[in-house]
Amino acid sequence: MPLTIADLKKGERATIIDSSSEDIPLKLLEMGCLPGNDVELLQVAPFHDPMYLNINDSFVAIRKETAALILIKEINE
Amino acid sequence: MSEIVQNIIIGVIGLLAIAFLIKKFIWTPKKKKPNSCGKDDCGCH
Amino acid sequence: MSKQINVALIGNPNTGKTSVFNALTGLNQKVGNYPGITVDKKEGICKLSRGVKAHILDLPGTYSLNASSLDENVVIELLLNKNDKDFPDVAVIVSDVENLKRNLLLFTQIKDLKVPAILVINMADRMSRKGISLNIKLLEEQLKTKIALVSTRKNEGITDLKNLIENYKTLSTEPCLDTSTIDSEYFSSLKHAFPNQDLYKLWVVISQDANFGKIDRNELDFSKFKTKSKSELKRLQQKETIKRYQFINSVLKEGQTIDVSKAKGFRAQFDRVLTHKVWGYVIFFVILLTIFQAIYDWATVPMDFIDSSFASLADWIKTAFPGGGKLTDLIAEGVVAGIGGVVIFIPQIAFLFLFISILEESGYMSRVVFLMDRVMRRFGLSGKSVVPLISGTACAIPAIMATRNIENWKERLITILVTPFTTCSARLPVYLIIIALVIPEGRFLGLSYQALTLMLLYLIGFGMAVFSAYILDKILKTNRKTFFVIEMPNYKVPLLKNVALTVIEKTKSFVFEAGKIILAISIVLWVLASYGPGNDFKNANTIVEQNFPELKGEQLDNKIAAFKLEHSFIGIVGKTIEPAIRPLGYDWKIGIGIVTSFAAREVFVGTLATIYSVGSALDDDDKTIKNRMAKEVHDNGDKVFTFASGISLLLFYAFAMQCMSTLAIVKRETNSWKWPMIQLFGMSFIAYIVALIAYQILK
Repeated sequence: MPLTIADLKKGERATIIDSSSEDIPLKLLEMGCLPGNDVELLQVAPFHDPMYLNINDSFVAIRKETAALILIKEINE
Repeated sequence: MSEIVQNIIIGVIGLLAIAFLIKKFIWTPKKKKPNSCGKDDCGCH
Repeated sequence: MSKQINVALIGNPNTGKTSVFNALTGLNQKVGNYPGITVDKKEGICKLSRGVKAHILDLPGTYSLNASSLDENVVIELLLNKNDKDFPDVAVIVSDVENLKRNLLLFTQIKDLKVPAILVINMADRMSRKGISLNIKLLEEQLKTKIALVSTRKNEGITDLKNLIENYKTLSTEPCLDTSTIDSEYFSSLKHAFPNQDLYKLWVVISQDANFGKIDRNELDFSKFKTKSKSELKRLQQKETIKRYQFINSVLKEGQTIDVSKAKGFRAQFDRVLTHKVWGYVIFFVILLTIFQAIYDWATVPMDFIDSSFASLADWIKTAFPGGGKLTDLIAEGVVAGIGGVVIFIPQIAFLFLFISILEESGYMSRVVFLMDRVMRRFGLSGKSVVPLISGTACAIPAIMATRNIENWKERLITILVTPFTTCSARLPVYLIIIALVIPEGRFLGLSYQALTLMLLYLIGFGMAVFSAYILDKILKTNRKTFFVIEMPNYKVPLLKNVALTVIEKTKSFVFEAGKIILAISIVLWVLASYGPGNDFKNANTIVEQNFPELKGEQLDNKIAAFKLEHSFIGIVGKTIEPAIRPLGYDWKIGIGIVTSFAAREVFVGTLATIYSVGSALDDDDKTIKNRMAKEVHDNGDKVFTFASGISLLLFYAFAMQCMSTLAIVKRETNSWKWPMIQLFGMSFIAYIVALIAYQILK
């Protein structure tokens, strides 16, 4: 099962490898959610949803179902 | 002011008020887009 | 002759664009509407040098030219239409020094449309605190623009900006990116098909079409050109975004240095507490309670003042024009009372928006949305529904207008439909008097029964909103996709100027939107209450004098007024609906009160005062009305206002859709008849049933 942002735990970092899913809002891509960029999970709300992330130095919150569409590799502490 | 004149003025004001309300509630402004964000997903994403 | 330069102010949300707008225009601004759509049009005038001024259009914040909502679409519509009278001579793009990378995406897109552009780098006062240093000369060179380093907080850089605007003709219109590098195959065939058109502009038109449904572009004929599918276009848009970021990254690599060791910030610490799984919610709840308490306390003084002022005004009109007769009555009782009914809510609304605006300006509101989204979604709402629902406790009208930032149409629609269930200020006068009448004295856990009942009513209102959202979510067509993205801005100290201007704007919208309708309805109702068919009405004076020969002076006048009301058009309506409302414990007199509440709910109290011939409620305090109401009996001797009928009335007012102004706004925001009608009938039906059950059980 490929890793996605939804799998991150609080404080973990990763690199985005694919954000080409149709259902990812373009706005998110324009904020820097692109392959090669870094993402860090800063806070989570109860039930892990929404997720408050630092994507490419943009601080955004997205829902878990959107996070599950963005593939990552290398989870770091 | 005679009563009749008063009643006429009041009548006119009343009709203006009603006309205003009709305009607010019944008249739908002309839309440029055929879609209205009232029913279906108009692609407003 | 003075020269006017058209300026378009564009930028990401949260860059302080509004502050820049306010700094340039001050009070010379106004908010209107774009024709045909529910988006605010904000414009203002800025004096540059002698004889030269700038007309500034503050466009909705957007992250890129690829619109994802109605208001973002306004930006692209303007920039593509050279014939629009607001088409800019120069675009001022506002960016935030801490988010330059992302802000520049929009900037490069606008440059590529060949519009002269100035880059404002705002919040410059935070540069040293964050360890950021910029090579302005280099940035200007590589981005082919002129830069104004601005700090609206310290009021620096605005004069530079004004100079740059005035000298807009010296700006370069060279693009940043060569459009064909996005995808050489696609773009060369595009160039081939449309040799005379600007390539990037073409591309924007094509991709917008996919984003936003039918927009007709009559200048361009696409019938000969085979267009790509929606998903292929999206892929190309992604490619464009990647290409742009590559360009931006290379520019910033040289032009910007960040010394991370110098960076100080409280964001992380604040967030740890404010979005904490437990404390986050506790803190939010406490803040909410504080706000409600403050509004309740602070608003009473000005409200009382307004109440007595309007009462005095009405009295003065009556006495100053004794020969005026009916016309002065219309003005005093219809017009002045109608306007007074609107003005009296200004304090509550202004205070509520003061708090909401402070929470938004500080950045805290986004955290609230973050905390509440999951909970809200179970009920078909969005985290962004929190602000409208809270605002609804002042008045549903500005609340419904605040739903415009909810991306998902279904979540937005449901929010609009259920917000009127929250207890708005207008319901309070009704609640307070009924509670005082039927709820017994006594305390429970330190709080009086009366206070508890009031709190309960607030909870019921909110609970009903959430519950009906849940039902609506199940009934309405499900829209699987979610486009929820919310930026979490830096915490900052709210700028007083921005807060003040927001409060003024929101209050104005309430006064003029609701005000006009309330005034019109007040006039109509006054006419219906002051004229009646038949001889009983015409001969009211004689009839009353005959039947009550012992009454004199003011008492006689009051009796005549009550008699006239009973036989007026409205009185007849009240009597006609009596059989329908008897099972709820009401009589025709209360029936009249319910009908007049369609102008504004609080009119109920004043109407009852007239009916029970206490004279105008304005010159007597509540005690008299209360005593009179307490003594009211039915024909069979039973009291009218019992515990059962009181509760029934409270519940009726909690759920009934009586506010015509709200219906008008819902109609405008949803652009259709269907939804306000559903609200009207649905809510009234619920109100009727619940009040009925309550009365039958309790009596």
